[in-house]
Amino acid sequence: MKFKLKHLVVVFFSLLFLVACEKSPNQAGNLVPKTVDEDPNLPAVEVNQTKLHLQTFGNPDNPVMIFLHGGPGAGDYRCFMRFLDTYNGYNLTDEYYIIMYDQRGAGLSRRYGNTDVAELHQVEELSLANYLKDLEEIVNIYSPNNKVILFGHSWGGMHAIMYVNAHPEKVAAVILSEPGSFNADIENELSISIASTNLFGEETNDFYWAHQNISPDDQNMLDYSYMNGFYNGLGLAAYHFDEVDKLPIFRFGTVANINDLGPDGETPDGVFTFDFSQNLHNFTTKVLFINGSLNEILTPEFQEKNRAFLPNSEIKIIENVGHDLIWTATADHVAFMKEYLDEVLPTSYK
Amino acid sequence: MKKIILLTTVIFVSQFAIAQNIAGKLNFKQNRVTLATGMDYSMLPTTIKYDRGFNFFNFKNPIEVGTEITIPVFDFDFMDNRLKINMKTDLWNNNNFFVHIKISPELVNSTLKTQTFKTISTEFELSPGYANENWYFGLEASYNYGFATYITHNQIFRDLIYQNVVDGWYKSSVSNIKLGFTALCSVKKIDFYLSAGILKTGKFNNFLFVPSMYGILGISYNF
Repeated sequence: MKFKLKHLVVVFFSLLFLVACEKSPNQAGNLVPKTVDEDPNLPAVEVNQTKLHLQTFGNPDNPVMIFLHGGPGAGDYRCFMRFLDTYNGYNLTDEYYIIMYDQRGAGLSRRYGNTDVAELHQVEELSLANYLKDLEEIVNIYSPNNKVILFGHSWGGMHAIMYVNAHPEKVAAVILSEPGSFNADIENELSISIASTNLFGEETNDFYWAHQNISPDDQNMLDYSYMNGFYNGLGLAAYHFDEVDKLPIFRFGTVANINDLGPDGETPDGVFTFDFSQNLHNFTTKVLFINGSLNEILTPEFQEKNRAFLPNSEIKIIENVGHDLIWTATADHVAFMKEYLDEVLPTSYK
Repeated sequence: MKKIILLTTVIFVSQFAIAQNIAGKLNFKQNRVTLATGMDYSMLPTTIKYDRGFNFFNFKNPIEVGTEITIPVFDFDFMDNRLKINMKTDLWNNNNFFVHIKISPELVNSTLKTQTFKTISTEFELSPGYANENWYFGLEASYNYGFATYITHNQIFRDLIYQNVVDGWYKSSVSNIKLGFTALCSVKKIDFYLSAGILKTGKFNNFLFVPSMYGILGISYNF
């Protein structure tokens, strides 16, 4: 009897411990950082009925340069932080008023939707129209009377071109670092077979196995699981991300990433329908493309298809870097950008 | 002499009848070892099981109690593993039809490049089916619920992702649902079985990046 009682006491206190002393994985701040909706102290702006994590750097009197990160959802503006450093005595903030923000559904900005709808690319709030409207309102707030300079990486490059296509008169210069496709014809041709998961890879199986520890069932757990996948080797090998100097992030936006280009950019079957190229002939300013040499998907040859819509463009190749070139080759970027902007921007503008 | 032969025959046949198995089920004091692999939260993990039939609480049906360990084969270092205690019995049976229930407390250890997990969970399984001496077919529905998970993150995670991540015990971090079937064929003392079906999170969402399904091939020896 004593034996049973002792064990019952142990079981009772163990259960009490399990119930009373644990943290919730669903509470933002524990496993993932809080978004602007949960932490009012984060720098933010309210535009287009959403709240975006946004920061400005430099003198507001200088020309505005807006940075657009990749994704959608699989990046945020933390990847641009090295652009604020000084290289060879030059700092971008000396000449430009820099604006960096996390797009809706990404980084520490507001979350939307769920994976069921996102798998069909139908999360309404995460549409191309809304991504464009957010940027339009940011431009109107920070540079209502002057043209802006846009810098876009990967999907951010597509985002920048979407804006140029809609408002060529509002853009002073564009720098595109390994941008994605400018229209659906190019994107639908892009081979994604090399992007499939290697089911027999160690990283895949480690991540698979951990589905017995963590269930991606809400926005916090989804983003946490996604980060586990990315930082444990499930990034696309063909993009050649640096294994040592890894790209940091505030927080993945899983639903935004799965939703991809959304209801006005993609059918539920994943066929792309967008076109950011039809008005690009109205933008005659020279555009700078920057590409790494290692990327097997967004190759310099691939960029020729995009450049066909921008005859007045130049491409710079950085050797031995992959798709994370904005992080691993920032100094090269800044040097190219300074040279390019000195060339295309009139002295009066600066 | 005839009586002796008859009595011996009756005793032999009755013993045989007692010892005779319904495919896939253990009698009292019978043992089984199993080796299995397939797609089970990883590709081609190795599972080793031992089960024995007990007569607890004078329950009318044998209660199978056993233990199992599963280890993923990739990066084979025992850092990732699952330890289970299985308890299974027929909740109801009538001739060859049955509904069995299985409860399996388990401990799952996972080690990723950026963090480690230790989860205490329990799997509840309900399986209606049909079995005879040679084969068995059952549908299966199981729910796995993680009561507590201990998570620790390393400096890589803190540097690249979230500096202020909180280590420690987390409640209810995982739940998964399996819906599928098991088909088993028994040849003398050896059973071959296949279990397969869909595998979703507790809220019936798909897994991220990896297949939301399972498929396990196993071979057992009964003695």
